[in-house]
Amino acid sequence: MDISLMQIIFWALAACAVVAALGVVLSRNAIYSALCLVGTMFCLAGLFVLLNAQFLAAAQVIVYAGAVMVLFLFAIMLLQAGQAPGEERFTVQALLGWLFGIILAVQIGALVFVAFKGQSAAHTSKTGGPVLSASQAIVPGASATVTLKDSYKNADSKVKDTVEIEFIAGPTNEAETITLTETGPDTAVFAGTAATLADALPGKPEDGAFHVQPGYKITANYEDTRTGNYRTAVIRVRDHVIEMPAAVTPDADLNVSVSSHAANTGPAADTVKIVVTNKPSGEREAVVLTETGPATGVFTGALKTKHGTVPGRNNDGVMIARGGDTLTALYQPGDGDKIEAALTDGELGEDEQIPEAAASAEVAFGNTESVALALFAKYLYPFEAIAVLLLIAMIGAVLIAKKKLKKAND
Amino acid sequence: MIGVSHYLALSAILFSIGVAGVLTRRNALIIFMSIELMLNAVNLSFIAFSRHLGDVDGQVFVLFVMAVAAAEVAVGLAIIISIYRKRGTANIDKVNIMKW
Repeated sequence: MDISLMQIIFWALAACAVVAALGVVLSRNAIYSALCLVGTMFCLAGLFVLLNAQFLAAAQVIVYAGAVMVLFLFAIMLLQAGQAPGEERFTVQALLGWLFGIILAVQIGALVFVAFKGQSAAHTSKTGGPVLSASQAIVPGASATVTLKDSYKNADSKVKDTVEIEFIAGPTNEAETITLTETGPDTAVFAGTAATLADALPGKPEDGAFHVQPGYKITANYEDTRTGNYRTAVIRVRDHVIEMPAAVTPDADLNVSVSSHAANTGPAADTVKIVVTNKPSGEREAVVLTETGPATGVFTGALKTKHGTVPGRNNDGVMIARGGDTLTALYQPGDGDKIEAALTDGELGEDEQIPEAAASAEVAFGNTESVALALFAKYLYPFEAIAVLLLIAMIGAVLIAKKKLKKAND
Repeated sequence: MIGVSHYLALSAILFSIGVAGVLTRRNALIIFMSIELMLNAVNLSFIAFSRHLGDVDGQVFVLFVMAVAAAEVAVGLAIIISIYRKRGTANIDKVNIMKW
């Protein structure tokens, strides 16, 4: 089991936070308590960064470690309440208080671990149970990747286990057993490939590769040994397949690949043209993909993305995107000229064809911006209410402190 | 691999320490700090869930909790200071006029 930097940081911050929190509650001097509380706040701010909440980490340091703690220290100094007399005695109340605290911690902790048992570590998916996934579509002759996550098949945590899954190609009913090998000794993730051959004749069962044509389907049924339910994965065989990563961060390149034997027209490295659309902003960019070799039928290329909120010009070579956008790539064979014409006009015409192949990628969310969007769009009224509450609290605090002062003067 | 359950367990521990502090300490200021500790523990679980569910609403709620906590501290400390001026102590065992 490898220990990553993230884990080291988490455990260090968690340990610091707990020690400092105990310091808040246990120290006899209120000033030490306040300083320990600052320490806890800083550790929590660090954990917020680990959780991808950078804005809240900054707010935590400014609001809590800054403003609130200054208020506390002022109050402590003003009251000279550093050492409160008569606090040292050990009472039944204190004993019961600690007992209750420990019971509460154990209860919540137990609840958390029962609720998230199957979900932590590299075991299973959100819903629990095994997950079988495979390439959605391939061209004839290409290999499909198959992955299975199933903690129950991780029989020996010291060695790489294997799982055998039977795949059936339709409509020829050719069956092949594919062996998936665990990616590491204790990952419970199994990976393998299903090879295919472009061949109109049905192959023999268990000859190592599926003989397929475009339009075929390769299906696997995998039984969950715990519940008896079946998980199904379907690999479709198509003329053209377009692939891109499921997520991309703004400013990174979006790598797209197209597999198509039909587009492999000559012995030289051919090119295909695809169009990438940003769903909310409507920006379109054409991308030219180049064949990886003289006759591979696989075309790759990349589209630059740039973080920004204002949609960029169509076809300027850079896709302006922000967190939450969906980028969709379309490949329409033999239609590159029309796409380019449509891009310069701004919109595709009404005779827009149903694309031969499409893939989409989510843009990973840029955090501060999405928080602000939610705050000012979805939660505008609560935000206003909180602002008014803060104002009232400020006036109220001044009034309370001032009123008593008058009384004391009288 | 650090999952959401680790953060929730840490949050539970911090919250319980805060509860124990409120129940055991008699200094009103330290009780107040323990309440802040509990609010922070809840913030941590909010953000952990926000990350886990891929939804920023949790982070927005943390902002609200922070604002309410700041308001609460301002009013609460004003009250403690006025009590201290009137009674000369911040020990809550000595401020039991509302006890019946």
